[in-house]
Amino acid sequence: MGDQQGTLRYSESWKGEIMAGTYYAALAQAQSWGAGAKVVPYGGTNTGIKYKAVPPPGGIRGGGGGGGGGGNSAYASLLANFQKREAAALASNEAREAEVRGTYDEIIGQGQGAFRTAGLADIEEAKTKAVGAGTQQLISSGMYGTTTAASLPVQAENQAARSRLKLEDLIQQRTNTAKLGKAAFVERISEPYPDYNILMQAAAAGASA
Amino acid sequence: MAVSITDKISYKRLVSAGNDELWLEDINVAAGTKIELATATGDIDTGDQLTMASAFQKVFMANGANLKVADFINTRLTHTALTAAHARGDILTQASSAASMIVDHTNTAKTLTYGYTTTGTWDFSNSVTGSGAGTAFTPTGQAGMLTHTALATAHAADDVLTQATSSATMTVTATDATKTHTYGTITAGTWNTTNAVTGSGSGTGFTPTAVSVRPPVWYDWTVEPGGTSGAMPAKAYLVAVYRGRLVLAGNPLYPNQWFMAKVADPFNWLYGTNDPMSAVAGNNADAGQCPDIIRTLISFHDDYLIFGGTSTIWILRGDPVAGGSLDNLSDTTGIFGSNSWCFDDARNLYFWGSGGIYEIKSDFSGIRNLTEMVLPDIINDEAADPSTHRITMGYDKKRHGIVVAITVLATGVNSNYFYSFKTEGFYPESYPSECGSYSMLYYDANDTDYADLLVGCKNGYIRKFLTSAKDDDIGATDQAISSYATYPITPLSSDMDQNGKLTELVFDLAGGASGGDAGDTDGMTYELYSGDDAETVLEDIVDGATAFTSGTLSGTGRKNKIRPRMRGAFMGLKIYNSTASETWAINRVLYGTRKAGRVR
Repeated sequence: MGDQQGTLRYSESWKGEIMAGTYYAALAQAQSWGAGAKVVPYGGTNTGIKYKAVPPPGGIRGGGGGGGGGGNSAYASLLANFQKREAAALASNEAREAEVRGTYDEIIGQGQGAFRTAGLADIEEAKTKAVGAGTQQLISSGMYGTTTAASLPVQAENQAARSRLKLEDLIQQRTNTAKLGKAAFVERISEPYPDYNILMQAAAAGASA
Repeated sequence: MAVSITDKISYKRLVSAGNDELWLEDINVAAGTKIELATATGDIDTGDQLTMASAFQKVFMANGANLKVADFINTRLTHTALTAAHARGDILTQASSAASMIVDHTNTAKTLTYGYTTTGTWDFSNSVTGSGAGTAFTPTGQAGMLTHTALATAHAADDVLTQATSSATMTVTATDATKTHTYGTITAGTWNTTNAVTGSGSGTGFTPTAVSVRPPVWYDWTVEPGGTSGAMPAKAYLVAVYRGRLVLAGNPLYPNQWFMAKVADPFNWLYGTNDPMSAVAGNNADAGQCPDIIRTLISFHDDYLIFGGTSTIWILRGDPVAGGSLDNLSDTTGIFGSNSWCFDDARNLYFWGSGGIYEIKSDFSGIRNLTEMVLPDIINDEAADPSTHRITMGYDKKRHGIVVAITVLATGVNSNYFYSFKTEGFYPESYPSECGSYSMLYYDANDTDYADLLVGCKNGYIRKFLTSAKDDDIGATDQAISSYATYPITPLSSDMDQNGKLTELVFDLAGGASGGDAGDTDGMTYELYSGDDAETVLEDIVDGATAFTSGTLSGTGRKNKIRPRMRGAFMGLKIYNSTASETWAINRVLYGTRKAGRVR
């Protein structure tokens, strides 16, 4: 097997025994190999458990591969089951995350669509009605032939412009709320460290079996 | 403890225009004394239609393209052209002198600032800054007026006057016709009434008897500079004030259009802003209809404004930009001209309309034609045309009636009526052509001696009706008044189609006993006419046919019985006096008749 990460790490994790207290060294080695690498106990007792890093089944990243080994078959089965469940849970969580992100994105995207169109249409309708009502009032009062009548459309447009700005503000508020929700959701996503105590206990139980 | 009370009154000035000049009542000298606003001379054309309105202590004038202001309240500061004019309402303050002014108006060239000086005396050394964005400046001059005794030779425009000792200087603008007032721009120092003044030209030296640093100023009526105050109509012949707005109309290019300035800002004519006080323009018609030509503007306080057209009358109530309404009062009559109307004490409006003389009650309960029954053909009889005639109307408070004057503009020839509220009758009259009425105004002067119906006459004088006068004052001489009364044509028999004989006639002349407290009448002449029908008798009187008999009466009281023995179906009696310096009055006429056979 070629050394992918460095001669020292590879040789220590593959060939030699790692003394108790070097769990973290084995962990670091496994992490450096990437997904699929494992840290497994392979001997010792109680406080003197020995750990070693096992490369991923497909080999170390960037080439080379290698297989793991060691440990008893029961542990391996448990570990495999654990890993399988973990992978499934991860996949499920990732799928849920993707769904929620998609939902937020959909909500955020709605502000650019029908809501704006409907709002603008309402504003234009109100503007038309305002001009019409004002004109009718001026006709009733005999003021149709004055510059007051001519200024009605201008006043209505000024009001409509303010309404459009309010609409945009409302859309922006809603968009921001959705974005903030998405950000809060993303912020809440956490990837807890694996509970290796359980794994150690299982391995210990397997070793003593 | 004695209580001292000082009366506070508002002073009124009568302003009149004539002979292309503007004259104002100088109450500082004496009530009724007029002085010429020399700076206005030649700037107006009184041969053209001219109307004036008073507002904000100014007189606004509409004289075609001559839209002018005579300002009686503001100070005028002269300076170099400003980059940015001071806005209306800005406060100007001068360093050191602490003089302060509220800006009212700036001319188009931004070289003259008009405002009300609230404190201090302006000098020409220190900088003036404004509370707004206007450019600071140091005044180079201030409008002023020097009063003096009549000069032999007036100082010409642009002459520089210098006063000894004070070293005050003034650049002359104009001198009035009497050469007793010199208007100009003070450019240095403080003028006094002690030291002699000499001019740079050929004008006579003088010592001022009075100095004014706030004389009436005269300037073009324009919008504020800067391009944000809209535009005034190029011409206008009608002006009025309504609800704090200056109203113009009578632009020959747009004769059916009226224009109103912003409320309380005669220099802002920007229409269509989203402001209830915005300037506004319009016309008078139902939606989709052609508007009528406007001939007169009649405003009544802040209550309503009437537009008199050629054949319609409209009334505007309220403000046109803030909930007002414009309604039609009449589709069948208009108003003859800008002066062809007046109000009485009861706020009833009278005007010369398309069919005669009309009355509109103050509650607008109806429009009544006063001449319809008694002078049904008055319009044709007078044949007045707005291009050649002027019809003026005025309420005579002292004599309780309306004077209606129809004057030929070119000659002053006139035909007039006095409508009496007592008798509700019309009395035709005419004045010497020199006294032809061009304008009328009831002037409610501070001095009651001058509170009367004033008539602006063709020869430039302002006249009033004087009960004690027996002749008309036509200038250099007096002219006798010819007056007459025609009694109703009377049947001489109580039976139908029967002749009668007038057997006796008794005149009872006014004055009681001669020389007593009652005013004594002068003499009069009577003429008797008879005929078989009433119209023939009346026609003979009107045509001046030879009377059956005539005579002259003199003295007062009951006169001796006259026995005319005149036979006929109807009789007519005319009484008259055309003698200079005489007036006459009659209490009653008694007559007796007896039957005299059938009419053949």
